[in-house]
Amino acid sequence: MTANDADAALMLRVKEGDRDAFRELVERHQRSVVQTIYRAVGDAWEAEDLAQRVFVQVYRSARRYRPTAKFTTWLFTIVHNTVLNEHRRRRRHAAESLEALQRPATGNEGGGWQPADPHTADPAQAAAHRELQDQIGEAIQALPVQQRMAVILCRFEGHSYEEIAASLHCTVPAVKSLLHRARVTLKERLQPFLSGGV
Amino acid sequence: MNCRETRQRFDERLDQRLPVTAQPAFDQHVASCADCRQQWEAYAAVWKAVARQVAPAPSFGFAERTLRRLNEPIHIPWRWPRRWRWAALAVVVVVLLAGGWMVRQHRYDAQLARVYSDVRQNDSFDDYDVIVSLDQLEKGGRL
Repeated sequence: MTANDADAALMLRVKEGDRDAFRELVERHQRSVVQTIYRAVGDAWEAEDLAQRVFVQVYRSARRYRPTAKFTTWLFTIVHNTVLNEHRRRRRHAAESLEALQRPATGNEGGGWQPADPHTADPAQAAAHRELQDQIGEAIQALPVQQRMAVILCRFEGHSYEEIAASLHCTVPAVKSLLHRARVTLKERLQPFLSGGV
Repeated sequence: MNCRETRQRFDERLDQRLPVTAQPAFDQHVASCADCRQQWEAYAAVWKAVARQVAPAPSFGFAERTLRRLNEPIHIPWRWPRRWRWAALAVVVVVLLAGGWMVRQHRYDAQLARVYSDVRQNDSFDDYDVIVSLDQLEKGGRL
């Protein structure tokens, strides 16, 4: 049984209101959903909250689920819509996101939580690594939301152009264009930090 | 493959979507052209670095907390139904057009009244002046 078949089977049980199947589904996909949202919004606390909303949405929309498409494509469509809504909400309530930026780091948030590279014992090297991590995070955050999602789904989730197009409600050529523009912007922004070698 | 074609295919190469037939030409050009090689290495290095960005795993008890949220009441913020939004926009446009027409008509009537009043009060006005004034009003001009 492929991973997709297993997801589809679980979803059919969720449709019947089976909460154990739902828990299994959450456990299977929680990591990729939380990490995708974290990369899109840049705040670990918010990423967990939004990821929970995504799964609640999955549960409530289970009746409309048809196992014709890949489950992850359907799941990441919900993730994308949730991130877009959050993006719109942030634009409307700029003050709230400012508040989130000012929230003291709890050891599990952007910048503060990142572990040093285990291969770099040297504190200076570890600091440089963390600096680079921050720069990459900021560069991804600075991308327009569609480009950001395309980069995240392509680079971190390994989705195909077709899957990304389905999740972002656009065409395959549009995905290629989003990725190209994102890469050019990332190169412009990150190249100075990589000139010393990655 | 020339420099322009090679650079156009950077994305396909990175995403491993470059056709097998095009790959040798791409690699050959990159190996022989120092400028393209430099561009390609920078492009690929950034993409490689992006993949190194680490993200936190879900905290302990994530699934439990998610299950608890299933019992929360559904809160759907009230929004104008899409059809109503268009209807409201149409009403606003009609009201603005009607308002504009009424203001224009009111001004016209007021100016017309002023012309007749001037004619009645001022003997120096001859028929020609009245005709010219009315003609201007008809054309939408001001007196």
